[in-house]
Amino acid sequence: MKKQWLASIPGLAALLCAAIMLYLTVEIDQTRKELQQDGVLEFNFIQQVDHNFDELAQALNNYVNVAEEQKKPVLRDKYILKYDLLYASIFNVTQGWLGRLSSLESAQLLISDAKAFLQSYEPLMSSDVAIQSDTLQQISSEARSLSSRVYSLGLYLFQQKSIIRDKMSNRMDDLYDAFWIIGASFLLATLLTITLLVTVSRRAADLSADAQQTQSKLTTALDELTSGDIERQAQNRFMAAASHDLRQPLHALGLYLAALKSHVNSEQGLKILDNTYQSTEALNQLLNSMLDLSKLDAGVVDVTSEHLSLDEIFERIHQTFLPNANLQNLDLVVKKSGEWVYSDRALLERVLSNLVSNALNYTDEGTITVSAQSIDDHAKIIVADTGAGIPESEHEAIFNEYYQLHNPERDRTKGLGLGLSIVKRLTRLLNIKLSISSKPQNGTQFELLVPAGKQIDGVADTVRIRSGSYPKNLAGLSILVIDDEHDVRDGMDSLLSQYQCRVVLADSIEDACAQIIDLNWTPDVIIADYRLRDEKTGDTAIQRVREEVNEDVPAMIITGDTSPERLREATASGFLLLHKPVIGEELLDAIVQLAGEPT
Amino acid sequence: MTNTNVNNEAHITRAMLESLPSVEFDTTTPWADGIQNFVGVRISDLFDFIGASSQSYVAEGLDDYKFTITDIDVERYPIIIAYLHNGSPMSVRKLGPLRIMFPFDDYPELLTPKNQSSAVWQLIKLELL
Repeated sequence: MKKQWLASIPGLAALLCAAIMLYLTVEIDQTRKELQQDGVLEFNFIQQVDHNFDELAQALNNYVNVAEEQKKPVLRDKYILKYDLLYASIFNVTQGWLGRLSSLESAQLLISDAKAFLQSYEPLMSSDVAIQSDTLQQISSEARSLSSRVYSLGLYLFQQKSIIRDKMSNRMDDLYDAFWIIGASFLLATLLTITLLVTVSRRAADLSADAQQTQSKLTTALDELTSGDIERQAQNRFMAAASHDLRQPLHALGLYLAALKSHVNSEQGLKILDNTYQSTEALNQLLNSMLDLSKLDAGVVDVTSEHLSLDEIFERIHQTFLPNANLQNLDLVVKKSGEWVYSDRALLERVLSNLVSNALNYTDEGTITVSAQSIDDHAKIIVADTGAGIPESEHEAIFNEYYQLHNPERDRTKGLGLGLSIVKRLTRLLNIKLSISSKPQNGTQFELLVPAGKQIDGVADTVRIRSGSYPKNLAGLSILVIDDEHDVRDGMDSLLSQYQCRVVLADSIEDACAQIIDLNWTPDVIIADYRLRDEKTGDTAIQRVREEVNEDVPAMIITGDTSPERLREATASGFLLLHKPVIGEELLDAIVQLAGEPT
Repeated sequence: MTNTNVNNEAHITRAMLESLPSVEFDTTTPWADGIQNFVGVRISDLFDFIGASSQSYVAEGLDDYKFTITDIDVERYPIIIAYLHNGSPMSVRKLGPLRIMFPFDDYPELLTPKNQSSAVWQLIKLELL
């Protein structure tokens, strides 16, 4: 703002200069005109009077000098005329004739003397009178003397004019000088004004640009804050860090327990072992839920849709959860509908599992029903329970992470509260519309609108790791295990050696290669941990080993990572990926599957 | 000039002038005191009379005074060659018999040094350019 005021000062100066220049131009013009016109009238007068005197004298002489009498009258008329002309030029004199001369004493004197001269000889100026030559001489000489006085007056006028001319000239010079100086100042002032204005506007533009930048930064920050991305990212980082540390020992624990089974003989011991196993299972599930959330947020989850039979899926869910339902004295009813949908098998099953599991957790008595019906080109799946119900105010909140109704004591058997938030993300991912209708004391109904599918005969099972789908025939297999954690290696050894596998343990890539060379041995399967010592990754390890033995040995990666970037990297490596903690069965199935693949 | 009577000159007599339409006005002049009355012929009328095609001329007086007149609008202004001053003909001593006169009072803008110089008295000749 200050600069704008500053800019106005040279601006005003420029205006002032312009005004002065205008004034000077007018003055110069005036002076030039004065110069031109100066003294014109006076000069006219002087010239004319001088001329008239001379003419008179001349005419008189002509008359005197001519000899022939006949010519005399003409010549006489002539000098009379000249006399009249002189008379007119003297006796009609006014200020208008004389101009500046009227103030001169010598001029006034001349006029009065001329008048006297004319008057004294007037009687002689008629055609009747014949003037004698000596009179004529007298007149002539008087005329001449008056004429010379006119001449000196003219001279004086000329000198005056020169002085005036010089004065005017100087004045003109001064005016021109002033004009150029003011002109230069004007240009300077204008330049200054423009410069200041430009810098001001540029400054303003800069400030404006800055302001806009700041504003957009603020908007972005605000958006981030309100969208919850920051919390989610913090959450992911936390989960990645925490769950990785948790997975290692859990993984080892699972392996140890699996190994322990064959060493326990007593029934009580087996029961205790079973309970221990259940607990670790629960722990696994919890960790897996957290991993799922992380995966979903990382966008690593692929959706492969196919035509699915709801009856088949419902049946599987029924089988999975019936034991739980029985334990809680609840009825689990699954209704056949004959409906087919088009969606991702595993993810849809996951959604339904979570909903059913949730229903079981929060229903004290009664029935959980899973049914389906056709609506337009969708199928509506309904999971209903006769539980405590959810008040309308909580209908949105229940989908938030870690949010649980009616679990003030944080009963861990009821899960972490992640189940529904996973459901929310999965349904969004699968483009399934999820709605809930529930009132306290009236039970809860979850409804899913899934795109309808076509009935397909003989659906082949997709190749996935399924418990119990392969016989556990690992006998004779050579397995290379690369993991930098001692406990994990130990646990793997304990488990795998039970199945008569030859197990080679390595704690790093170098160690693995060294042992291979030493033993001159090629493994049948490579199991590598993703995160190895010195920032090395499992897929690098597998590549190195494959190079070493010059063979594309089947391999899998086990990772304890939950961070989205690491997950993306691991999945991108292309190797079969298992997540810690790995259930013993899962690991064994994977090994068998890999070993069975043609190399 | 188309209407000539002597060689390629038009010699105008007083009678000829008086036969043309006359214009009269009162005005003050720089050369005398008081308001004076002038009667004369408009220069534009005279030019029409003689069929003059030019608007520029040199005016000459009996006293050999000459002045070149180039851009005085004789059509617009009633500038006259006066032959009567205050009702009477002018003698040479009275700056006659003919003088060019401007209606200075009616048209104050005419009072310029240049016009003053072109108000030739004792008019004897107009030389068309």
